[in-house]
Amino acid sequence: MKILFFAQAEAITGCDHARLDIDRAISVDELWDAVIAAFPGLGPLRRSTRIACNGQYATATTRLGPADEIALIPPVSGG
Amino acid sequence: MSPLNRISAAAAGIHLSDEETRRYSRHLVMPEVSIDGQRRLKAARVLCVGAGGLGSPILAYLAAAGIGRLGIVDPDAVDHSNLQRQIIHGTPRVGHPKVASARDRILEINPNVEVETHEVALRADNAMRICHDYDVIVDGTDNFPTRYLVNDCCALLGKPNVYGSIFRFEGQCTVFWAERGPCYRCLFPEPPPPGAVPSCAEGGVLGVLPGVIGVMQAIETIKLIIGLGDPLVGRLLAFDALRMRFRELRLHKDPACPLCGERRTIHGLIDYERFCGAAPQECPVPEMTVQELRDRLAARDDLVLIDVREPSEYQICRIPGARLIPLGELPARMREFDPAHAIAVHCKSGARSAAAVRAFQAAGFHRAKNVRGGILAWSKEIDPSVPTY
Repeated sequence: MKILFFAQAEAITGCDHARLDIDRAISVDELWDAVIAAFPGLGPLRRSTRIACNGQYATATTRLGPADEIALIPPVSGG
Repeated sequence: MSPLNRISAAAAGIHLSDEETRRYSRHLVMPEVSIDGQRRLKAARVLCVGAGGLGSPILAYLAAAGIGRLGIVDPDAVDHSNLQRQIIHGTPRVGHPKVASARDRILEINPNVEVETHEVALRADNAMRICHDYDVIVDGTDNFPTRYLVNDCCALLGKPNVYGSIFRFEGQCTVFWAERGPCYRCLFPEPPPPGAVPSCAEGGVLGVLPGVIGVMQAIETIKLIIGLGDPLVGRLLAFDALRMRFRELRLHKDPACPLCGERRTIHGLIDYERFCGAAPQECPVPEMTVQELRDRLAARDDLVLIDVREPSEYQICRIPGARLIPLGELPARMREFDPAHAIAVHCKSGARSAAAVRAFQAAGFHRAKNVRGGILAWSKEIDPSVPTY
Protein backbone atom coordinates (compact mmCIF):
# COMPACT_ATOMS: atom_id res chain seq x y z
CA MET A 1 0.00 0.00 0.00
CA LYS A 2 1.42 3.37 -1.03
CA ILE A 3 1.11 6.15 1.54
CA LEU A 4 1.73 9.79 0.55
CA PHE A 5 2.83 12.23 3.24
CA PHE A 6 1.92 15.91 3.02
CA ALA A 7 3.04 18.97 4.95
CA GLN A 8 3.97 18.18 8.56
CA ALA A 9 3.62 14.44 7.92
CA GLU A 10 6.40 14.71 5.34
CA ALA A 11 8.47 16.82 7.72
CA ILE A 12 8.11 14.19 10.46
CA THR A 13 8.77 11.10 8.33
CA GLY A 14 11.42 12.73 6.19
CA CYS A 15 9.93 11.25 3.01
CA ASP A 16 7.09 12.14 0.70
CA HIS A 17 5.82 8.57 0.49
CA ALA A 18 6.29 5.09 1.92
CA ARG A 19 5.08 1.59 1.15
CA LEU A 20 3.45 -0.50 3.85
CA ASP A 21 3.24 -4.27 3.59
CA ILE A 22 -0.53 -4.70 3.76
CA ASP A 23 -2.20 -7.54 1.86
CA ARG A 24 -5.88 -7.14 2.75
CA ALA A 25 -8.56 -4.48 3.03
CA ILE A 26 -8.26 -2.60 6.32
CA SER A 27 -10.10 0.15 8.19
CA VAL A 28 -8.88 3.70 8.69
CA ASP A 29 -8.10 2.84 12.33
CA GLU A 30 -6.04 -0.19 11.30
CA LEU A 31 -4.18 1.93 8.75
CA TRP A 32 -3.30 4.47 11.44
CA ASP A 33 -2.05 1.68 13.71
CA ALA A 34 0.21 0.43 10.90
CA VAL A 35 1.42 3.89 9.91
CA ILE A 36 2.24 4.86 13.50
CA ALA A 37 4.01 1.53 14.07
CA ALA A 38 6.23 2.40 11.11
CA PHE A 39 6.53 6.12 11.91
CA PRO A 40 5.89 6.69 15.66
CA GLY A 41 6.45 10.44 15.21
CA LEU A 42 3.10 10.68 13.42
CA GLY A 43 1.20 9.71 16.60
CA PRO A 44 0.37 13.27 17.69
CA LEU A 45 -1.20 14.02 14.28
CA ARG A 46 -3.56 11.02 14.33
CA ARG A 47 -6.65 12.66 15.76
CA SER A 48 -6.41 15.83 13.67
CA THR A 49 -5.45 14.35 10.29
CA ARG A 50 -7.84 12.90 7.76
CA ILE A 51 -6.91 10.09 5.40
CA ALA A 52 -7.59 10.37 1.69
CA CYS A 53 -7.97 7.24 -0.43
CA ASN A 54 -7.56 7.62 -4.19
CA GLY A 55 -8.33 11.33 -4.02
CA GLN A 56 -11.39 11.04 -1.76
CA TYR A 57 -11.45 11.72 1.94
CA ALA A 58 -12.10 8.46 3.78
CA THR A 59 -14.85 8.08 6.37
CA ALA A 60 -14.86 5.82 9.44
CA THR A 61 -16.37 3.02 7.32
CA THR A 62 -14.08 3.28 4.27
CA ARG A 63 -12.11 0.10 3.54
CA LEU A 64 -8.59 0.65 2.28
CA GLY A 65 -7.16 -1.96 -0.10
CA PRO A 66 -3.52 -2.87 -0.87
CA ALA A 67 -3.75 -1.25 -4.33
CA ASP A 68 -5.17 2.03 -3.06
CA GLU A 69 -3.14 5.22 -2.92
CA ILE A 70 -3.45 6.69 0.54
CA ALA A 71 -2.61 10.28 1.48
CA LEU A 72 -2.07 11.76 4.95
CA ILE A 73 -2.88 15.46 4.78
CA PRO A 74 -2.47 17.18 8.15
CA PRO A 75 -4.02 20.61 8.63
CA VAL A 76 -1.67 23.54 8.14
CA SER A 77 -2.38 26.94 9.58
CA GLY A 78 0.11 29.39 8.09
CA GLY A 79 -1.04 32.48 6.29
CA MET B 1 -31.05 37.10 2.18
CA SER B 2 -28.24 34.89 0.92
CA PRO B 3 -25.00 36.70 0.07
CA LEU B 4 -25.32 36.05 -3.66
CA ASN B 5 -28.93 37.20 -3.77
CA ARG B 6 -27.94 40.39 -2.01
CA ILE B 7 -25.22 41.01 -4.60
CA SER B 8 -27.72 40.40 -7.44
CA ALA B 9 -30.16 42.89 -5.95
CA ALA B 10 -27.48 45.52 -5.29
CA ALA B 11 -25.82 45.09 -8.71
CA ALA B 12 -28.97 46.21 -10.52
CA GLY B 13 -28.46 49.74 -9.23
CA ILE B 14 -24.69 49.94 -9.86
CA HIS B 15 -23.26 52.40 -12.38
CA LEU B 16 -19.75 52.21 -13.87
CA SER B 17 -18.04 55.52 -14.59
CA ASP B 18 -16.08 56.19 -17.81
CA GLU B 19 -12.88 55.72 -15.83
CA GLU B 20 -14.11 52.36 -14.52
CA THR B 21 -15.15 51.28 -18.00
CA ARG B 22 -11.59 51.92 -19.22
CA ARG B 23 -10.04 50.33 -16.13
CA TYR B 24 -12.05 47.12 -16.39
CA SER B 25 -12.12 46.86 -20.20
CA ARG B 26 -10.33 43.46 -20.23
CA HIS B 27 -13.12 42.12 -18.04
CA LEU B 28 -15.92 43.84 -19.92
CA VAL B 29 -14.97 42.36 -23.29
CA MET B 30 -15.25 38.81 -21.93
CA PRO B 31 -18.84 37.62 -22.24
CA GLU B 32 -18.38 35.48 -19.09
CA VAL B 33 -17.81 38.64 -17.06
CA SER B 34 -19.24 41.55 -19.12
CA ILE B 35 -20.72 44.65 -17.59
CA ASP B 36 -23.11 42.55 -15.51
CA GLY B 37 -20.27 40.66 -13.81
CA GLN B 38 -18.32 43.87 -13.24
CA ARG B 39 -21.40 45.42 -11.60
CA ARG B 40 -21.62 42.38 -9.31
CA LEU B 41 -17.97 42.82 -8.33
CA LYS B 42 -18.63 46.47 -7.51
CA ALA B 43 -21.74 45.54 -5.53
CA ALA B 44 -19.82 42.92 -3.53
CA ARG B 45 -18.44 43.32 -0.01
CA VAL B 46 -15.51 41.05 0.82
CA LEU B 47 -13.77 40.67 4.18
CA CYS B 48 -10.17 39.48 4.22
CA VAL B 49 -9.14 38.15 7.62
CA GLY B 50 -5.40 38.71 7.87
CA ALA B 51 -3.28 41.16 5.85
CA GLY B 52 -0.24 38.90 5.72
CA GLY B 53 1.20 36.47 3.20
CA LEU B 54 -2.16 35.30 1.87
CA GLY B 55 -3.94 38.61 2.47
CA SER B 56 -1.41 40.53 0.34
CA PRO B 57 -2.24 38.99 -3.06
CA ILE B 58 -5.88 38.50 -2.08
CA LEU B 59 -6.35 42.21 -1.32
CA ALA B 60 -4.24 43.48 -4.23
CA TYR B 61 -6.05 41.40 -6.86
CA LEU B 62 -9.52 41.90 -5.42
CA ALA B 63 -8.86 45.66 -5.36
CA ALA B 64 -7.63 45.64 -8.94
CA ALA B 65 -10.62 43.55 -10.02
CA GLY B 66 -12.98 46.21 -8.72
CA ILE B 67 -14.57 44.74 -5.58
CA GLY B 68 -16.78 47.51 -4.23
CA ARG B 69 -15.95 47.21 -0.56
CA LEU B 70 -12.95 45.48 0.96
CA GLY B 71 -12.71 44.91 4.70
CA ILE B 72 -9.38 44.08 6.31
CA VAL B 73 -8.97 42.54 9.77
CA ASP B 74 -5.49 42.46 11.30
CA PRO B 75 -4.26 43.60 14.72
CA ASP B 76 -0.54 43.60 13.85
CA ALA B 77 2.06 46.08 12.66
CA VAL B 78 4.29 45.43 9.64
CA ASP B 79 7.46 43.66 10.75
CA HIS B 80 10.69 43.44 8.80
CA SER B 81 10.34 39.66 8.64
CA ASN B 82 7.00 40.07 6.81
CA LEU B 83 8.48 41.73 3.73
CA GLN B 84 9.80 38.47 2.20
CA ARG B 85 6.22 37.49 1.28
CA GLN B 86 3.68 40.13 2.36
CA ILE B 87 3.97 42.15 -0.82
CA ILE B 88 1.16 44.58 -0.09
CA HIS B 89 3.45 46.18 2.53
CA GLY B 90 6.45 48.23 1.44
CA THR B 91 9.69 48.56 3.40
CA PRO B 92 8.89 52.16 4.49
CA ARG B 93 5.76 50.85 6.24
CA VAL B 94 7.61 48.68 8.78
CA GLY B 95 6.20 49.53 12.20
CA HIS B 96 2.90 50.84 10.80
CA PRO B 97 -0.41 49.01 11.30
CA LYS B 98 -0.91 46.40 8.60
CA VAL B 99 -4.50 47.47 7.96
CA ALA B 100 -3.39 51.07 7.25
CA SER B 101 -0.49 49.94 5.07
CA ALA B 102 -2.76 47.63 3.08
CA ARG B 103 -5.46 50.29 2.76
CA ASP B 104 -2.99 52.83 1.33
CA ARG B 105 -1.68 50.34 -1.23
CA ILE B 106 -5.22 49.26 -2.21
CA LEU B 107 -6.20 52.88 -2.85
CA GLU B 108 -3.10 53.33 -5.01
CA ILE B 109 -4.11 50.29 -7.05
CA ASN B 110 -7.76 51.29 -7.33
CA PRO B 111 -9.22 54.41 -5.71
CA ASN B 112 -12.73 53.21 -6.57
CA VAL B 113 -12.56 50.63 -3.77
CA GLU B 114 -14.11 51.46 -0.42
CA VAL B 115 -11.76 50.13 2.27
CA GLU B 116 -12.85 49.32 5.81
CA THR B 117 -10.08 48.64 8.31
CA HIS B 118 -10.58 46.60 11.48
CA GLU B 119 -7.39 46.90 13.52
CA VAL B 120 -8.34 44.14 15.93
CA ALA B 121 -7.86 40.41 16.33
CA LEU B 122 -10.97 38.55 15.18
CA ARG B 123 -12.40 37.05 18.36
CA ALA B 124 -15.55 35.25 19.43
CA ASP B 125 -16.91 38.51 20.86
CA ASN B 126 -16.51 40.60 17.67
CA ALA B 127 -16.50 38.14 14.75
CA MET B 128 -20.25 37.93 14.13
CA ARG B 129 -20.58 41.71 14.14
CA ILE B 130 -17.61 42.28 11.83
CA CYS B 131 -18.45 39.48 9.37
CA HIS B 132 -22.16 40.27 9.27
CA ASP B 133 -21.89 43.11 6.75
CA TYR B 134 -19.83 41.20 4.17
CA ASP B 135 -20.89 38.76 1.45
CA VAL B 136 -17.77 36.61 1.23
CA ILE B 137 -15.14 35.99 3.91
CA VAL B 138 -11.60 35.13 2.83
CA ASP B 139 -9.48 33.33 5.42
CA GLY B 140 -5.85 34.43 5.36
CA THR B 141 -5.17 33.96 9.05
CA ASP B 142 -2.15 32.22 10.51
CA ASN B 143 -3.40 30.14 13.43
CA PHE B 144 -5.81 27.33 14.21
CA PRO B 145 -8.06 29.11 16.73
CA THR B 146 -8.88 31.88 14.23
CA ARG B 147 -9.45 29.36 11.45
CA TYR B 148 -12.07 27.52 13.52
CA LEU B 149 -13.55 30.90 14.50
CA VAL B 150 -13.83 32.09 10.87
CA ASN B 151 -15.34 28.75 9.87
CA ASP B 152 -17.94 28.72 12.63
CA CYS B 153 -18.84 32.36 12.08
CA CYS B 154 -19.31 31.83 8.32
CA ALA B 155 -21.42 28.69 8.82
CA LEU B 156 -23.62 30.40 11.42
CA LEU B 157 -24.08 33.43 9.14
CA GLY B 158 -24.54 31.37 5.95
CA LYS B 159 -21.57 32.93 4.18
CA PRO B 160 -18.92 31.29 2.00
CA ASN B 161 -15.42 31.00 3.52
CA VAL B 162 -12.69 31.07 0.89
CA TYR B 163 -9.94 29.16 2.66
CA GLY B 164 -6.20 29.07 2.09
CA SER B 165 -3.33 27.95 4.30
CA ILE B 166 0.37 27.43 3.85
CA PHE B 167 3.29 25.57 5.39
CA ARG B 168 6.90 25.74 4.18
CA PHE B 169 6.56 24.63 0.52
CA GLU B 170 2.95 23.46 0.57
CA GLY B 171 -0.44 25.07 0.52
CA GLN B 172 -4.11 24.16 0.65
CA CYS B 173 -7.07 25.96 -0.90
CA THR B 174 -10.80 25.26 -0.85
CA VAL B 175 -14.16 26.95 -0.36
CA PHE B 176 -16.06 26.02 2.79
CA TRP B 177 -19.72 26.85 2.44
CA ALA B 178 -21.84 24.89 4.87
CA GLU B 179 -25.03 25.49 2.87
CA ARG B 180 -23.56 23.85 -0.22
CA GLY B 181 -20.80 21.54 1.01
CA PRO B 182 -18.48 20.67 3.86
CA CYS B 183 -17.14 23.13 6.42
CA TYR B 184 -13.65 23.22 7.98
CA ARG B 185 -14.85 21.08 10.89
CA CYS B 186 -16.07 18.39 8.46
CA LEU B 187 -12.49 18.16 7.20
CA PHE B 188 -10.62 18.77 10.45
CA PRO B 189 -12.95 17.96 13.38
CA GLU B 190 -10.15 18.28 15.90
CA PRO B 191 -7.29 20.75 15.97
CA PRO B 192 -3.82 19.24 16.26
CA PRO B 193 -2.30 19.28 19.75
CA PRO B 194 -0.54 22.58 20.48
CA GLY B 195 2.93 22.51 19.02
CA ALA B 196 2.35 19.49 16.75
CA VAL B 197 2.02 21.66 13.64
CA PRO B 198 4.47 24.57 13.48
CA SER B 199 3.44 28.06 12.40
CA CYS B 200 5.19 29.89 9.55
CA ALA B 201 7.27 31.65 12.21
CA GLU B 202 8.44 28.27 13.53
CA GLY B 203 8.55 26.18 10.35
CA GLY B 204 9.32 28.87 7.79
CA VAL B 205 7.60 29.43 4.47
CA LEU B 206 8.76 29.99 0.92
CA GLY B 207 7.95 33.66 0.36
CA VAL B 208 6.26 33.20 -3.00
CA LEU B 209 4.09 30.29 -1.81
CA PRO B 210 1.28 32.46 -0.36
CA GLY B 211 1.25 34.22 -3.74
CA VAL B 212 0.07 30.99 -5.39
CA ILE B 213 -2.49 30.13 -2.73
CA GLY B 214 -3.71 33.71 -2.16
CA VAL B 215 -4.22 34.24 -5.89
CA MET B 216 -6.31 31.06 -6.01
CA GLN B 217 -8.40 32.42 -3.12
CA ALA B 218 -8.88 35.69 -5.04
CA ILE B 219 -9.94 33.74 -8.15
CA GLU B 220 -12.45 31.69 -6.16
CA THR B 221 -13.84 34.84 -4.54
CA ILE B 222 -14.36 36.50 -7.93
CA LYS B 223 -15.93 33.33 -9.36
CA LEU B 224 -18.36 33.10 -6.44
CA ILE B 225 -19.40 36.74 -6.79
CA ILE B 226 -19.93 36.62 -10.56
CA GLY B 227 -21.24 33.05 -10.55
CA LEU B 228 -18.55 31.74 -12.87
CA GLY B 229 -17.33 28.19 -13.43
CA ASP B 230 -17.06 25.49 -10.78
CA PRO B 231 -16.27 26.72 -7.29
CA LEU B 232 -13.87 24.77 -5.05
CA VAL B 233 -16.77 23.71 -2.82
CA GLY B 234 -16.23 20.08 -1.78
CA ARG B 235 -12.73 19.96 -3.28
CA LEU B 236 -9.42 20.71 -1.61
CA LEU B 237 -6.47 21.65 -3.79
CA ALA B 238 -3.15 20.72 -2.21
CA PHE B 239 -0.17 22.43 -3.82
CA ASP B 240 3.42 21.20 -3.49
CA ALA B 241 5.87 23.82 -4.74
CA LEU B 242 8.92 21.56 -4.51
CA ARG B 243 7.45 19.01 -6.90
CA MET B 244 5.34 21.68 -8.64
CA ARG B 245 2.29 19.50 -8.31
CA PHE B 246 -1.36 20.03 -7.49
CA ARG B 247 -3.53 17.31 -6.04
CA GLU B 248 -7.29 17.57 -5.81
CA LEU B 249 -9.08 15.79 -2.98
CA ARG B 250 -12.82 15.34 -2.83
CA LEU B 251 -14.36 16.37 0.48
CA HIS B 252 -17.69 15.36 1.90
CA LYS B 253 -19.97 16.96 4.40
CA ASP B 254 -19.62 15.04 7.67
CA PRO B 255 -23.10 14.00 8.89
CA ALA B 256 -21.65 14.00 12.43
CA CYS B 257 -20.21 17.53 12.11
CA PRO B 258 -21.12 19.39 15.32
CA LEU B 259 -21.52 22.64 13.36
CA CYS B 260 -23.24 21.76 10.07
CA GLY B 261 -24.19 18.07 10.45
CA GLU B 262 -27.47 16.39 11.22
CA ARG B 263 -27.22 16.74 15.00
CA ARG B 264 -25.70 20.13 15.64
CA THR B 265 -24.27 20.85 19.04
CA ILE B 266 -22.56 24.16 18.19
CA HIS B 267 -25.09 26.96 17.91
CA GLY B 268 -22.85 29.91 18.65
CA LEU B 269 -19.20 30.88 18.82
CA ILE B 270 -17.05 29.19 21.48
CA ASP B 271 -13.71 29.75 23.21
CA TYR B 272 -11.31 28.94 20.35
CA GLU B 273 -8.07 29.32 22.27
CA ARG B 274 -9.31 26.74 24.71
CA PHE B 275 -10.70 24.51 21.93
CA CYS B 276 -7.28 24.47 20.29
CA GLY B 277 -5.52 23.83 23.58
CA ALA B 278 -3.72 27.17 23.60
CA ALA B 279 -5.32 28.11 26.91
CA PRO B 280 -3.46 26.94 30.02
CA GLN B 281 -3.92 23.22 30.58
CA GLU B 282 -6.10 22.27 33.49
CA CYS B 283 -4.70 19.77 35.94
CA PRO B 284 -5.44 16.13 35.10
CA VAL B 285 -8.31 14.30 36.79
CA PRO B 286 -8.32 10.73 38.17
CA GLU B 287 -9.03 8.24 35.41
CA MET B 288 -9.98 4.62 34.84
CA THR B 289 -9.52 2.59 31.68
CA VAL B 290 -12.40 0.99 29.80
CA GLN B 291 -11.04 -2.42 30.84
CA GLU B 292 -11.25 -1.42 34.50
CA LEU B 293 -14.77 -0.11 33.90
CA ARG B 294 -15.82 -3.39 32.27
CA ASP B 295 -14.44 -5.44 35.17
CA ARG B 296 -16.08 -3.29 37.80
CA LEU B 297 -19.45 -3.31 36.02
CA ALA B 298 -19.20 -7.11 35.75
CA ALA B 299 -18.34 -7.40 39.46
CA ARG B 300 -21.53 -5.42 40.25
CA ASP B 301 -19.79 -3.42 42.98
CA ASP B 302 -21.10 -0.05 44.09
CA LEU B 303 -19.80 1.83 41.02
CA VAL B 304 -22.21 4.40 39.54
CA LEU B 305 -21.68 5.05 35.80
CA ILE B 306 -22.78 8.44 34.46
CA ASP B 307 -22.93 9.44 30.78
CA VAL B 308 -22.63 13.22 30.39
CA ARG B 309 -23.26 13.35 26.63
CA GLU B 310 -26.35 14.83 25.02
CA PRO B 311 -29.57 12.79 24.55
CA SER B 312 -29.02 12.72 20.76
CA GLU B 313 -25.68 11.04 21.32
CA TYR B 314 -27.13 8.64 23.88
CA GLN B 315 -29.60 7.61 21.17
CA ILE B 316 -26.76 6.61 18.87
CA CYS B 317 -24.98 4.39 21.38
CA ARG B 318 -24.62 3.78 25.10
CA ILE B 319 -22.71 1.71 27.61
CA PRO B 320 -25.14 -0.66 29.36
CA GLY B 321 -25.91 0.53 32.89
CA ALA B 322 -24.95 4.16 32.28
CA ARG B 323 -27.21 6.94 33.57
CA LEU B 324 -27.62 9.84 31.14
CA ILE B 325 -27.06 13.26 32.72
CA PRO B 326 -25.98 15.81 30.09
CA LEU B 327 -23.07 17.90 31.31
CA GLY B 328 -25.21 21.05 31.43
CA GLU B 329 -27.67 19.41 33.86
CA LEU B 330 -25.03 17.95 36.15
CA PRO B 331 -24.69 20.82 38.67
CA ALA B 332 -28.42 20.76 39.39
CA ARG B 333 -28.58 16.96 39.67
CA MET B 334 -25.48 16.26 41.71
CA ARG B 335 -27.51 15.84 44.85
CA GLU B 336 -28.95 12.62 43.38
CA PHE B 337 -25.64 11.00 44.27
CA ASP B 338 -23.88 10.07 47.48
CA PRO B 339 -20.34 11.46 47.87
CA ALA B 340 -19.35 8.15 49.47
CA HIS B 341 -20.05 6.25 46.25
CA ALA B 342 -17.52 5.42 43.57
CA ILE B 343 -18.50 7.28 40.41
CA ALA B 344 -17.29 6.76 36.84
CA VAL B 345 -18.12 9.43 34.26
CA HIS B 346 -17.88 9.00 30.51
CA CYS B 347 -18.65 11.00 27.37
CA LYS B 348 -17.68 10.52 23.73
CA SER B 349 -13.91 10.79 24.02
CA GLY B 350 -13.15 12.00 27.54
CA ALA B 351 -13.07 15.81 27.52
CA ARG B 352 -16.57 16.62 28.77
CA SER B 353 -16.39 13.84 31.35
CA ALA B 354 -13.12 15.31 32.64
CA ALA B 355 -14.98 18.59 33.21
CA ALA B 356 -17.72 16.63 35.00
CA VAL B 357 -15.18 14.92 37.27
CA ARG B 358 -13.73 18.33 38.16
CA ALA B 359 -17.21 19.51 39.09
CA PHE B 360 -17.77 16.39 41.22
CA GLN B 361 -14.42 16.90 42.95
CA ALA B 362 -15.26 20.52 43.70
CA ALA B 363 -18.51 19.32 45.27
CA GLY B 364 -16.67 16.88 47.54
CA PHE B 365 -17.10 13.66 45.51
CA HIS B 366 -13.56 12.38 45.94
CA ARG B 367 -14.21 8.96 44.40
CA ALA B 368 -15.23 10.32 40.94
CA LYS B 369 -13.12 9.13 38.02
CA ASN B 370 -13.04 9.88 34.30
CA VAL B 371 -13.35 6.99 31.83
CA ARG B 372 -10.35 7.50 29.59
CA GLY B 373 -11.22 7.66 25.88
CA GLY B 374 -14.98 7.61 26.54
CA ILE B 375 -17.41 5.52 24.58
CA LEU B 376 -15.08 5.57 21.57
CA ALA B 377 -12.52 3.61 23.60
CA TRP B 378 -15.28 1.32 24.90
CA SER B 379 -16.34 0.57 21.32
CA LYS B 380 -12.80 0.03 20.14
CA GLU B 381 -11.49 -2.03 23.03
CA ILE B 382 -14.44 -3.65 24.78
CA ASP B 383 -17.54 -3.91 22.61
CA PRO B 384 -17.20 -3.28 18.84
CA SER B 385 -20.98 -3.68 18.46
CA VAL B 386 -21.33 -0.21 20.03
CA PRO B 387 -21.40 2.14 17.02
CA THR B 388 -19.11 5.15 16.92
CA TYR B 389 -20.09 8.50 15.50
